[in-house]
Amino acid sequence: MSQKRILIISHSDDLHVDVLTPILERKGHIPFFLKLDAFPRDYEIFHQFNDGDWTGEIKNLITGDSVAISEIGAVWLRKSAEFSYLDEQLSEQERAFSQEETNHTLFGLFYGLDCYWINHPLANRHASYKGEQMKRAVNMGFLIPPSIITNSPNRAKDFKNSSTSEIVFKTLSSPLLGAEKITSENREVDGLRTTIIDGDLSELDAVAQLPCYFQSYIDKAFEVRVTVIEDKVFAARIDSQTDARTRVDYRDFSVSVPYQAMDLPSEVKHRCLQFLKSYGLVFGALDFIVTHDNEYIFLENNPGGQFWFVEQLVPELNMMETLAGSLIKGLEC
Amino acid sequence: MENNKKLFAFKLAKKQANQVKSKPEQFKAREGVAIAGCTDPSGRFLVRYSDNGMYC
Repeated sequence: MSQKRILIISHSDDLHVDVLTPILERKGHIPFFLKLDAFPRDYEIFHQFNDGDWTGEIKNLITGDSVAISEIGAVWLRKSAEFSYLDEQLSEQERAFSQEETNHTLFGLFYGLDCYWINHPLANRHASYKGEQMKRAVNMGFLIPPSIITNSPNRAKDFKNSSTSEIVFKTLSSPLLGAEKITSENREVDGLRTTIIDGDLSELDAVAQLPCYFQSYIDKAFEVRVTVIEDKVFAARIDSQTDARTRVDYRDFSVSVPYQAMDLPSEVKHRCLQFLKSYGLVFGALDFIVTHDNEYIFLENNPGGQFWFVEQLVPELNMMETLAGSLIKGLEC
Repeated sequence: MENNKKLFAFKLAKKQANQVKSKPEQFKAREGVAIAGCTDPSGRFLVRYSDNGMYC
């Protein structure tokens, strides 16, 4: 029987894959990398049913590497991407149809794999909706900021007026505002981080176009990024309040605010593990605010969240090695 | 707010972009996270790693 392999699913420019791959290789495991942004253009795929047997293979036509579906023992599902086709000039309808057929080809195969996943796509999908996350977080004992999702300008205005603090706008899906899905020459805006709404109330009339997500702004002592890999919890304290540019949203990587490893209160740690487990997630990256009263306020869980930037700044949080170990151990399942 | 955009998020993003333009500053990633993986499609971070996990 051939050695089981790890399948990595992401896009060509995923730094996390570039970092993890040599770690796996050092440990004697050469993963098969399915680059979704080059699929199906640079791949040959089949899966078929004969007399009840399911067989199949994915082959990279550029490298010549291939993996039989029976060889796949663990999958790291990282990031999605727009597919590519041999003909770049497909009509709009051809492209729309191709997108659907490619999705069905891949997910029909993925869901059939009986192997170890970080994370299974069904768990990821289930865990990806912030509205549901907030409800679940409350049910599990987390504190959350007062929040509203609405396309009613009046409700948005009432929320702002009744909030005891300022309010912030957040995106529900991607903060890139769709920029990653269109060509660079057609991009109107680059993205939007969490933003305080400090303008005239009439500006909220635009909420009528599309439901928007608002939260009361919580004054922070510091922030915590918690990364969970199986039963291991890695917590980084982010002193975002030391610089005005990261006070509302710490994700400005031009600013050198301090990061350090920290121990979570045991009940917060336990809740994080239970939160992920409730979705069937193996991996998750959770964001918390810690108030001046040392209360932990849940903001969100990112089932496909980034973690290398944390490890770069806090090397003792050895998440990449842990992840590699989990995938290799998963091959034995 | 930018009135030529229809969506609230776009108006907000445009307003922010205009504020940044008014005090232009070359973006430079902090030391130690030169290739952090949290990037954006504007290319202000790093072209090679403009992954869509931008904001983590």
